[in-house]
Amino acid sequence: MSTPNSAKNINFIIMKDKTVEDKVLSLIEKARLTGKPVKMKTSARHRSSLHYIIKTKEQADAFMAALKAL
Amino acid sequence: MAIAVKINFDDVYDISTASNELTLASFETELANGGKKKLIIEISPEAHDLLPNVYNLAFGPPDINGEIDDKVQLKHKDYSKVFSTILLHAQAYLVNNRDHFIGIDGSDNLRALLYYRFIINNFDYLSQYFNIGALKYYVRITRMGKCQYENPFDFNDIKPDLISITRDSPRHLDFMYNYFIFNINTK
Repeated sequence: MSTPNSAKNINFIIMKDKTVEDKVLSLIEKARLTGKPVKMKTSARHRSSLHYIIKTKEQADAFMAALKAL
Repeated sequence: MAIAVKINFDDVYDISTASNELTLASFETELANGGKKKLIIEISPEAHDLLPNVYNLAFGPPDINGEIDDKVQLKHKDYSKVFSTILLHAQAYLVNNRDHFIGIDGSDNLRALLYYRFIINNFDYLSQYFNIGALKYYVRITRMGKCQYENPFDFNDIKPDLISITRDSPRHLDFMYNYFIFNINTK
């Protein structure tokens, strides 16, 4: 297989020729090379039902205890 | 409409990452009509105020303002590939942040059911990579008022109940959850 020149072809090779773990590590490295984080217009946090439902420490403590048991 | 989703991390769309923290990415999906559409994957950079390390994932096409429209209904050519791509990105985020949890809402009942069904149907595959929980919200019922039309629900007193999804989790159609939580399986 010839060495690709364009970024798109490099992405294609990453997706098709590696194990899942390698794909994940490639994504992480690709992200690292993008530089600074992008400032998002809307935080995904505010789309979460958790944001509206869990409002007390008691709720949060019970939820965190359940998460640790996952 | 029944959609059979089979998760396969070997068959995903090319992901363009826009953030070195893996909180923003996009890919181009193929639509059933032959067209293409950009989908954004966004993971909140801030955790819930009371839940450290719990972050929300949202996805969808950009609206006119560039924000995610998570209510639009698209007809994808390959739903399996779409959801495999989203979950591969989620996995990369969680590998890079091993103490984090990612949560996904169903923005309506149909989506919540769809997500639950494809998690259950792909449990053996997904459980290799993730621990998965599902959440319901329970509202306290107050004493019934003197007037039978008085609202008995106290929406200021809600109990979230989180369970682990397992191979034996119920599969019947009327069984639903509100929210799904993933963290990386390190076993």
